[in-house]
Amino acid sequence: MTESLSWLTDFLTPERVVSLVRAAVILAIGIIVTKLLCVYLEKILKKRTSPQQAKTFCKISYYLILTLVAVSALRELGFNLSILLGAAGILTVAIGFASQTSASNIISGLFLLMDRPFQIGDVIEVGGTMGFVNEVELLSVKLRTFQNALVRIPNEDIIKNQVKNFTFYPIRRIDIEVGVAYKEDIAKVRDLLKEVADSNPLCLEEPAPLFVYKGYGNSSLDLMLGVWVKKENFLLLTNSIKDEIKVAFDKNGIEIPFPHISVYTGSVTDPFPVTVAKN
Amino acid sequence: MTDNSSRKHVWWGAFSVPENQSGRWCIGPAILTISHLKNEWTVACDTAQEAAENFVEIALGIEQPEETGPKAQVARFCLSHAGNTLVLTPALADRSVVIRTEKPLHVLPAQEVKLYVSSPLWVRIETGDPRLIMQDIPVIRPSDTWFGTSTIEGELCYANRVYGRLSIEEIIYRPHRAITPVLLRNHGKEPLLLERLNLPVPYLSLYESGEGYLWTQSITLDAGADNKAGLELKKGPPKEAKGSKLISEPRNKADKSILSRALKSIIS
Repeated sequence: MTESLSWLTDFLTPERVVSLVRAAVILAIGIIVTKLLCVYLEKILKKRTSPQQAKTFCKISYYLILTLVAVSALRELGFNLSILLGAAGILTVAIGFASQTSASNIISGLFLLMDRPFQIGDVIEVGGTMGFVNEVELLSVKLRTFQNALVRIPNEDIIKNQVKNFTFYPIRRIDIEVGVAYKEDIAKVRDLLKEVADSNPLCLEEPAPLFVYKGYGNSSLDLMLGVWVKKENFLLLTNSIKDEIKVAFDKNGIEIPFPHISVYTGSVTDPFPVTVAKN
Repeated sequence: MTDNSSRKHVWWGAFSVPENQSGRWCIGPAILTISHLKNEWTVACDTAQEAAENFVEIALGIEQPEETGPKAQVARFCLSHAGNTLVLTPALADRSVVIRTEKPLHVLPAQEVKLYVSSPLWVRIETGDPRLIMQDIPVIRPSDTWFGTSTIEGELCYANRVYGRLSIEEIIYRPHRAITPVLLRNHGKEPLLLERLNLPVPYLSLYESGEGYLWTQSITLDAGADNKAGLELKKGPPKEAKGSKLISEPRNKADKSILSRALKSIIS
């Protein structure tokens, strides 16, 4: 006990106490100033770049400035910087080998930031997962699915896979597949579909609705109506126009067929044998 | 002095709706029912397809308003004070309106023509002192449309099909639309084809003429030979709107980018 106390009194010379206090002050002020600086920087950058670019740049800046502050504090404590940097170099190489995946994700993250295929709030689909972009970070992108589940996708996967951004452009097209009976007059059906599209205010007048005669299906004449919509109204129009098409078809006596099954008895001419069961 | 009988189509202004009473405004096919309850206003918007386009009717002091239709849009607004004043103000659309003439119109080289086009109106419903906006809604919701060279570049607007009348006598007044005189000048050597015109209504003021009709300030469009277009928003009411007064300020302030654009971003 007395040995430890004497070591402590030997170690805590007045010069060392001053150095310790100085290092603590540098560290405390450094952290506060860095945080304030980053908040200010983020505010400025948000006006000029996308929110995720601003956030990532601020994060990198924060850790860089914080490293400089820590180095200054260590220097104040009397540590030799060249030895420290040498050790840091070896450590970096070791960490680099051990975390190749993370490094790959970081580099992919930087490419994503430069490429900007999507932004926070966009609806994207990556490898079968579809959802809103919640966060774009250096290592991963976080998606919020429509079922409100969080999906973390490593940036490397995003770079390697096909990404579909549904909200990149201000307008989108909804393709509605409609089947009508073979007896129907296609010109009349086309006019009716056009009328339905014209009467829905969410459906854009220009680009004009697209009508495609897709072909002769097993049970129906297959048609497609492509209507353009403001991206925010996509779901609203998808539901409302399908409802309106059904109502218009019913009103005008246009049949929407469904697959029918013909039971064949094995002979073309013979009627299907029917037996009435008696109790 | 304006003859009030000629202003029967005026549906805007300040109205008194006491508590537990309602008012109903029929503006063309649109029906607006506003009810005043204790610390609350209820606004219901509905449409009556069979109503005439120029029909206007105001009914105040209704104690039991009719049931709104299934497609009516109803919104409630709560306030701490109990004022009875309700102010209805017409306003222009919150996005540009794409005027599409029923038939393509050609303006021959070195010619100028004045077109009278109409655009849909919005209604601003306010109450209280100072006035608080409860709703700013279209009287009749116009269809959305896209105005641009491709589906990637362009502007989201409202669609508006008009005849494009050349004479003031031919104008048909509708209470849910405002009229804009557009002077088209073709400085080019080729005929100028006008199928669609992007009318920047959020930058226009709305005026009420002495007869109670709604006009916007007039626009001059100079189509140059270099595929550039100069848009001039004339200050003050149009000369056609006699004895007019300002009724609604522009929603946005016009800048140089609005006034000088590529011809394709105004006409197509």
